Amino acid sequence: MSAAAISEAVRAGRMSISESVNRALDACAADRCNAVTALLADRARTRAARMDAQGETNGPLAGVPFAVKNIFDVAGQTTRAGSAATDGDAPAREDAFVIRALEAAGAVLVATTNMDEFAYGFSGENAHDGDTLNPRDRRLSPGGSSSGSAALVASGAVPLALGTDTNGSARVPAALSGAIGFKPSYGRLSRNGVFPFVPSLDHVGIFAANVSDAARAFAAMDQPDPADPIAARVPQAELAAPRVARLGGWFAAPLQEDVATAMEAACTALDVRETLELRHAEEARAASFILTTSEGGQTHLARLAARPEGYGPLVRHRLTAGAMSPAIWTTRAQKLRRMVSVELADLHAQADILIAPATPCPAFPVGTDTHEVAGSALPIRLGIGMFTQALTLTGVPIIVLARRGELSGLPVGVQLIAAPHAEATLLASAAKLEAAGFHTAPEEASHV
Amino acid sequence: MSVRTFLAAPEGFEAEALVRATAPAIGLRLGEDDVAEIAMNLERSAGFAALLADIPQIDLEEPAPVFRAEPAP
Repeated sequence: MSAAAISEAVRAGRMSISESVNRALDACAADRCNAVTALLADRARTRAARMDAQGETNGPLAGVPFAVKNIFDVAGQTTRAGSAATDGDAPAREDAFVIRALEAAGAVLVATTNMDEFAYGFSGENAHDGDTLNPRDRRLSPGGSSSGSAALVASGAVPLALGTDTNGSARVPAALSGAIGFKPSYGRLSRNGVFPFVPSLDHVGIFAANVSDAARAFAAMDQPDPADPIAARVPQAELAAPRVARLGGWFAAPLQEDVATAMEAACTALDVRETLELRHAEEARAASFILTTSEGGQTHLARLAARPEGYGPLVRHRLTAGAMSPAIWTTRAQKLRRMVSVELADLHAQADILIAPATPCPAFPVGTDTHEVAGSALPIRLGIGMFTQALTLTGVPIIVLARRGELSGLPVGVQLIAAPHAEATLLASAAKLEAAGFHTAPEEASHV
Repeated sequence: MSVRTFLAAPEGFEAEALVRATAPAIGLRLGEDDVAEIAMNLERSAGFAALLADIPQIDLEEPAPVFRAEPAP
């Protein structure tokens, strides 16, 4: 059931909150994708029973079960961030701001989810907790780093989940798993209580089965929070008739056929008549890569020095290399960041919404290093996020919608990209695209 | 792919030497087995960094804002 259907059923008295929560807990317990890292059954049942007893059924998300990537603080739990390096950390004293916001709207947290270690990866691989599997085909990766959150929503176990997006960690798994993946503007949703990775790029991301549910969750969390130093909230009014253009250049790279067909379909549905080029897109992707490795390395330096054995080797070596990056690399990346943000603003002066592919191909086999795309070998760990990573450092709101590819039968996604704080227009355009067939129904949870 | 998903480090970039020199400066003790893997990652970053270095006048550009001087609340 969608979040809207659950809250409506709860409000109308057709379903208790306990019933909704128990269904989700059962579905999460039956998870066969290694998506769940902790089932919060006692907490969820206690809260649901109290809400039922007190008649708390009027919230916009009343009775809606949700899950969070285990990078979010959950009171009483150690925030693992997908790593054994956090094993000795003290339990969180309170829930992350966005969890508190969703629960204030009536939602109920039921589980934490698997992820790439410290959010550093696109593949859903994890050396400590095991790899997350794609609910559409368990031989395949669901994408990462918010792999478990995407997989749980795509499986139908929960209608909503939270992840993070630094280089595409919500958008890539949304495309590969078949869910809505929504990254609001940088600073729009509070990161207070989220384990940091790359503070100048970290965003909270939303997974939902449909655009309306994503919008509902966004509205519940869209609140000022002085505890997040980069908090920024400048809502823009929805435009009645947004102009839509396609991004060319870097984003017109050879695509797997289902992705290429999806792009054409999205452009037709949104009446695209123009292609625009982000001139420094390739350099923007390089800058994001450098900022990620260097800032991530700095975030982790003390922990790398104290207990390097807690890290999986892949991530330990990446972060250590980042901590050693020459300063001129990062200052050039920051300069490029400003240049490309100005370039993108110029494009948004010509078109309110831009369309780009989310990934070059559908889901790839778990554990693979390269994957064939349009006749060439794509290095998966570097290449699968090439279209999301090129945009992330501009901080603009982006939503991914997926549909099933005709050849592969797998979800493939497109990104809709709006100007900073134009979430209202972005969500309206996304709803229009969803109505044109960009929707991938969740799998039946019992079959996953 | 015709687009470049991987870029080679500039010729002469001695990543292992950089790793060995930097580790003590930032308080890290590395096993010998780690050095080559870390160096490989640094080479990858060097390839991306070289792409930015090719942008004319980039060193004279204004960086992205990272600090705002604001009155105390």
